[in-house]
Amino acid sequence: MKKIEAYIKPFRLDEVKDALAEVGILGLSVGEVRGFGRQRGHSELYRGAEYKVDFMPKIKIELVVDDAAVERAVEAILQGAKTGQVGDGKIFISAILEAIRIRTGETGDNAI
Amino acid sequence: MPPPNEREVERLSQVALTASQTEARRALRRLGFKEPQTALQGLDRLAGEPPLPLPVRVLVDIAASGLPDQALQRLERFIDSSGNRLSLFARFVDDPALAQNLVRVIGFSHFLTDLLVRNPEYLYWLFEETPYLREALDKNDLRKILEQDMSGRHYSQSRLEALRVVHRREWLRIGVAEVLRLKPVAQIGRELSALADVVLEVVLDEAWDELTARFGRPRDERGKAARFCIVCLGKHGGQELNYSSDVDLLFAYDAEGRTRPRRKDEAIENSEFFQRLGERLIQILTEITPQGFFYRVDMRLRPEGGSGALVRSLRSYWIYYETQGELWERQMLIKARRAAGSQVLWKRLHDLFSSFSYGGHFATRPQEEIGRIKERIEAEILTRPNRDNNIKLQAGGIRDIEFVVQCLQLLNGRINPQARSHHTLGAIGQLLAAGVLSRKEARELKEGYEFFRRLENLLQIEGGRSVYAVPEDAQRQKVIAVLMGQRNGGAWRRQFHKHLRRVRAIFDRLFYQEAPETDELKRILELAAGTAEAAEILQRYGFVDGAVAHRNLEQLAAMGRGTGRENFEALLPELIVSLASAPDPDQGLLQFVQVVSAYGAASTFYHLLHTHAGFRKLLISLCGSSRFLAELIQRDPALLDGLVTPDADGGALAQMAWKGDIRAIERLRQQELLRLGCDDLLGLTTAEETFLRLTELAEEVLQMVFSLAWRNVVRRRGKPRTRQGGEARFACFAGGKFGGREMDFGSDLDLFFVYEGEGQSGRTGTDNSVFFIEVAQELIALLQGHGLFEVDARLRPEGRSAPMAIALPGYRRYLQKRAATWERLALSRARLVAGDAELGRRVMRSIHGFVFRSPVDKALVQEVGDMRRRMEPVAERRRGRQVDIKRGAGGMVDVEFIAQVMVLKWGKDKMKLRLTSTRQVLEEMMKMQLLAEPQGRFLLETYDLYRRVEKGLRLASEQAPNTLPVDRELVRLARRLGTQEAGALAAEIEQRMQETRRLFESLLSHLTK
Repeated sequence: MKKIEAYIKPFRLDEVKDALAEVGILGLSVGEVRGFGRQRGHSELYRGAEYKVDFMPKIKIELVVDDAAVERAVEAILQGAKTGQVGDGKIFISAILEAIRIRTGETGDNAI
Repeated sequence: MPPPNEREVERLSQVALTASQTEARRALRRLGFKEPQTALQGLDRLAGEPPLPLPVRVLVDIAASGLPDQALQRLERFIDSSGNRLSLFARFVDDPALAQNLVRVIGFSHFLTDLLVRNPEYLYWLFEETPYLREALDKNDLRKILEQDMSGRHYSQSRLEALRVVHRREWLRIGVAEVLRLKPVAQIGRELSALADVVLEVVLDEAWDELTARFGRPRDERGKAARFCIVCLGKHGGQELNYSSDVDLLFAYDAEGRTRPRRKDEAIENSEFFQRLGERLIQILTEITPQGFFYRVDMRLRPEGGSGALVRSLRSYWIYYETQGELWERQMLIKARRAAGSQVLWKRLHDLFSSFSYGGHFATRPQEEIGRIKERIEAEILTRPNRDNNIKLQAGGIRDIEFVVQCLQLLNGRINPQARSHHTLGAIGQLLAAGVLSRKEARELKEGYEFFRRLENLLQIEGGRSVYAVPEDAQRQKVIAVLMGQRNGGAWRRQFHKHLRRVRAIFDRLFYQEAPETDELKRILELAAGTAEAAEILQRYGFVDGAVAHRNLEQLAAMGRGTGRENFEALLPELIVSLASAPDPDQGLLQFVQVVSAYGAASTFYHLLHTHAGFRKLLISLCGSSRFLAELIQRDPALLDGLVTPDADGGALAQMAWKGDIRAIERLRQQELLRLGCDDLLGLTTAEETFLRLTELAEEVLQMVFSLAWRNVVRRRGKPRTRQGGEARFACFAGGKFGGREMDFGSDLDLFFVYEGEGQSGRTGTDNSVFFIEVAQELIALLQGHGLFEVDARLRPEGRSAPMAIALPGYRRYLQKRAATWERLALSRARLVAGDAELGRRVMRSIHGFVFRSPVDKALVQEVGDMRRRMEPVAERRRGRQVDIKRGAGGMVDVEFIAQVMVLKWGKDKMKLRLTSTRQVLEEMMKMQLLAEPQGRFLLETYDLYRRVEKGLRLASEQAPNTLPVDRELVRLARRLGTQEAGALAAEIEQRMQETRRLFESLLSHLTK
């Protein structure tokens, strides 16, 4: 089992959800995040510095899938979230040691 | 009785040491002893057997210490421990300064007394051997001293023991230097920090050896050694450690993997290895031994505080700060510094920390957030006793200074990297240099900081504990006052309160500012939909349809779920007040709803708007003034990201566009259009600058598409060659507003194309005439098909029905034989915009030959007049209501024609007049006195007004006609221009059009006289 966390642009959320649904992944949690973006290059003063911000809102989606579905899910997220521009976001994948469904006590892949 | 003077003290001391008990007791009381009997017994014990009384000078010093009873007791303890009373007294007589310093130190601090009593030999080391009581000592000196003391010790326990000895001895030295005021307070902080650094280095070495002996060295997946670093924060990080404060630390390592032990089964994960290492470090540092302990360690500043992992990988820090980092953590990391461990890892940590602290986004206005943190702290200490006496936390105290400085660093450190010092006094100096703090503020903060820090150190040296309470009894205040160089307790108290007041005033100026009064608006959302009251309130704020506006506001509130609604409520008053001043509040609110719903993440979006005044102003004026720009964002919300985080893509988009990626070109154009539209709306650029930037943007886009079209046709047809085998040339020319560098939003491109070199393309044998027509067609198709620009190609020879590109010889013949008079006017604004520069020059020579061919005569003026009238809109000739400010009589075209005819008339001889911009021609004509100043001024002002009106209309809608609107639309236009009332604007335009037409006719007729 793996947990996939993706930070994407808010206006790509529907595309990402659709792309995941197409490969049969329906369960995911969604939340807004604010944090900070990595600073790049030199920050010269230019006209418009008056309205510059350093970070725009992002959406974090989180899903837990069995190992076999990881590649599919990542492909779908990439496809949905990619605008080809810098700042499309990031995907983090981490191992899940165990999952347990509280109601039934089922464990492992059966619980997700 | 007044306190005895100097001579009197000396006499009394003599009496106390030699006279009868009764007299001695009386003298001691006069010298300030509270318990003369106890003191007398002490003096007798010191005199000992054989009797040798304490030197008189020493008793004088004791009396001067302020608390003579305790000074005498402690001196007795010290003398007892030294074991050699006689030689010590002899030293006191030989070296009165030694005795005086000793009495001052032990009279004040029982902590330093304890250190000296344990090692009496340190007295000579301090005052006679080490040069560093007075000279500055740095980390390298300390390390050398330590190496000497540890040399020959190979066992960990014994090495740590040696370290403890050095640590205590150095602590004594620094404490004595502070009590005797031998070094500036900043230097004391540096030495205490250097001492802590060196301790951490040695302890890390020991713990590392211990763990690697058992588990082997931690390696990353490729077998390279994993690194570890101890980062210090707070006062330690700032190299301004207190005498007795905790050290705040973070532990980090750089790579996952496993250790490589001798016995394979002992291998563990790196995460576990470093966890054990961290635990062991803390254990060694905090362990209480007969020698005392090193430091109390505070690890609570780490991610997730007390419940977070003790040790984290670089990657884990990165993810945490990237996604969950809070403002207080950005503030805290300003002070981060490497205390011990890998330099390489520290460099990467430092990059991360500084991009987090200085590169990031403020979740709320930093002043607000820090003000809130500060309020929390003040509220918290309200519940503690003696809150007014806490020099660290009380109003105007040390924490306030640190808050002011760190807040200003967060605000300015991005633009001024030199203001990023982790050192408070250093940062104050840099903020002064950067012009952020005034000279007075910087001085007050610095003086206050030095005063409080010295006081804090003294309080902590006194008992060797971390106390922050200011002494309240007069006796102790007096002692402190004297050590801090004040005459008496009263003078010291006045100083103390002066510093508190000054710091507090600076703090308040920075952190507390008033918010506008908008209670009424906050209630809006509580009113049910469709209630008249809500509609009325909103109409008062300038919305025409209050009920619709109320519905839109409710929709916005509903979009933010949970905390989003709170965020929206916080934003609401500002939103309404700003929209109210927009040209069209109703439309503005509607556009705002659509932008937010297109962007998504409404909750965070509201928060961002609420906390970023500049961004809020931008978005609201954009929605309220320009439907056209707002719709750009609604179609592609990523444009907003590009607008407000312009450096984020590092030029990647432009690179893609230059490579011929048509999607990238489209986006680049929209991005730039949006940016210069916003700059214009916010008044950051003048109208003229906006026109010029629009023209430059068009040129850039045209050149990108030109290369793309060229490549596309070459791919299909092969390269075009001349008959001689050389390369055929091709160039693209602009006329009209594009040629004049005065494009507006929505202006089209007037283009024509010329090539040179008969022949055919290599692979397919396509004739060059066909090839270049295809390139021109491809170019136009790309520009129009992708919504980049509309193209007007009627400037080409023979107009509408002719081929898109013409060969140079044919073009020359056309200009000589068949070109019409109007073309002289139009081509006076022609210039090369893309393609072959050499060909461009030749074509321009031919064009100028044509434009300036013959003098301006009656026939030409006649023709221009006829032509001008033919252009006037039919409706106006029938005296319809609509006023066309471009083509209407006396409109923009009149001014342009005046300029063009002037260029035709004078440009033949005066090269300086061969200009394509209407404004520039008029200005140059005035300079050359070819146009009278009042007339020239009038024409310029009129032209500028027309263009501002045109721009106002185009910003609302890109395809807007050039007719002056009526009724409510006219009111909105007037508000957009922001200069006058609608009625006055219409009247002025009408009057100027009449006057312009009059001038047009008289100037033209005068030209031929």
